[in-house]
Amino acid sequence: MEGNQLPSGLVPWLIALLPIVVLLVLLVGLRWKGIEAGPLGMITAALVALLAFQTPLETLAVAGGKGLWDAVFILYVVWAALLLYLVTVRAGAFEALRTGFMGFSRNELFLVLAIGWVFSSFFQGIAGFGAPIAITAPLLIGIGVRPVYAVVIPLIAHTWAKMFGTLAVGWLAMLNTVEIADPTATAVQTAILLWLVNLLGGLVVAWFYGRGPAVRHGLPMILIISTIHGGLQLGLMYINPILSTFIAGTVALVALYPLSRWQRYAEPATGITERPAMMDQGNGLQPVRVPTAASLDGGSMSLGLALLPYILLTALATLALAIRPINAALSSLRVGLPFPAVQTGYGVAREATMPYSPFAPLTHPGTFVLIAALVSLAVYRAKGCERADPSTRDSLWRNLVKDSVPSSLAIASFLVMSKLMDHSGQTAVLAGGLAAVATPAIYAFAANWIGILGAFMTSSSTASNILFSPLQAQAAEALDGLSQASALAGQGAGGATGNVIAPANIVLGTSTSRIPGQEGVVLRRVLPWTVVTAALTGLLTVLLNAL
Amino acid sequence: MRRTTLLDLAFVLLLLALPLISFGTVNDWALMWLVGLLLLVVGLLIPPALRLRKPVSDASEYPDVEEEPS
Repeated sequence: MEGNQLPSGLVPWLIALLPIVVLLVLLVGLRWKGIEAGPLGMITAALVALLAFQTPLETLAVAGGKGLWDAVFILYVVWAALLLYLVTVRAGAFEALRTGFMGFSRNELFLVLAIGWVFSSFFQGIAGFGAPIAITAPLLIGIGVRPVYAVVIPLIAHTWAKMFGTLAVGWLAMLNTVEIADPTATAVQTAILLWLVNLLGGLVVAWFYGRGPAVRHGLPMILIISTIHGGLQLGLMYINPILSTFIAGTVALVALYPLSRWQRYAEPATGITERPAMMDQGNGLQPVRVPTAASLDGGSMSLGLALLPYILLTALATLALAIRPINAALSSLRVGLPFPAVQTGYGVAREATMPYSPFAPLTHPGTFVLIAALVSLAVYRAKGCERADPSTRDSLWRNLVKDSVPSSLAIASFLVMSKLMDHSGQTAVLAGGLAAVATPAIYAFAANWIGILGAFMTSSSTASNILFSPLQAQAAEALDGLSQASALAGQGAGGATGNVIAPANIVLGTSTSRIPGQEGVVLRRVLPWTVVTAALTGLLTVLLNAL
Repeated sequence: MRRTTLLDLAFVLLLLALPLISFGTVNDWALMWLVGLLLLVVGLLIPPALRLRKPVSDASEYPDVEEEPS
């Protein structure tokens, strides 16, 4: 971000904001689908780049190509997760999962928290790129959660794990991008902020399920799980930040068993009359089938067989990501496309990359999901479980293409828009504008909002950290009274939180929950939580900075 | 042409655009990257263009669109 002559002031800042405004108005205001709003946001970003940011066509082409390449990382998960979903549905495994889970605990709130919060967070510990949402959203639908909430719940609940999850890829990106004066203090402050995000995530899941009574009923479990997630992650900052989320997520997963034996969470909750997140609330939607003795016997498929894809997925991901020698060997295969150096008339330059952001297929979560889906398909077919989807006469593969293509187009458009804004300098003007008008305290408050902006634009906390960590470090250097650790901690927490409202992540959730076109509805549900969390995170950052 | 066919076509255009842009810009073949850029823009404009052809879906087709109980 240094060495350019980007315009400053309110007017350039408002012009740079235009693509985001267009996107939000179309998505939230006019309720357009992501597949329709994304391309128009992208065109707006391209026009702003051409007309106001002196961006040559070649720079736009390179930015567009990089955006498409970035989309490959997410689309690989989307396609594989949709295949897994279709395989599971056609085998009738969701019916078996539903009855199996209800046998494990008859308390719906416990199950919603267990799947939507604990399991999705565990999965973020070992695999990212949207896999936690793509895997848990269909499971939530399986236990009777309405599809929109099945997207909203994991979207919010696992976001705390973005920074140090997947072997702390977001943290490593920050370490590689800026010279951190005190890495331990920075990691500790980040973990404190993320603990808050985690706690607010657990609370809002209970709120979505059944408002105040559900929060009161779920509070002991929420506090226990949050202490494990946030507290253990914080403690591990002094020992091993790389494995902190993985360990915390695994311990929380194990803690579900004793919690499920507690009478409070083994039997249905009483006193929760309003359950907006569930389908059986008397509004004509599909009711949750209460398990009968016969269904608890397992029906046509055992719980073990129904869980096969998820067990495989967990085993593969753990093996490939947590065991370092295996991870190193598998990571050695990397593919990518080259792009040349480009710049704009304002001197915003991007170096040549040979290759750009190489893709490691053998350690990518999409591969684990794909293998789990294909092995499960073979097993289910061998056992005679597979049956045609009664709602369509299409084959499994035709169904997969039909479901995947629209979301793929939407995700591609969002990521191309993000790269156009980055390569033309629009993103730098937006972030720089926020930094320019701040005092140390205000900047400490705003640091996580900048991280959120980066994640919103790129759908990735890692990319947000790469994009804005240097700016945060520069601000800390320029402003007396602003510690680098606090500014970077705000960035880390914001980069994680911003994933909740990132359009590409929302599309990933709506596509794997088979509610394409409802991106605006999901965004409206997650936006208030994001704003409240960002405000509280900002206040906590101010406090940490003052200590 | 059916909507799904057009969306499949848009996706194929994006797949074609990626290598054209990469190799065109790296090797300074302007025609190649310009074609890639064109395919990218056309591919991504097909979905909003379909909105003009087909009336906006009725929200009632989605059971989850209704507002939460207050």
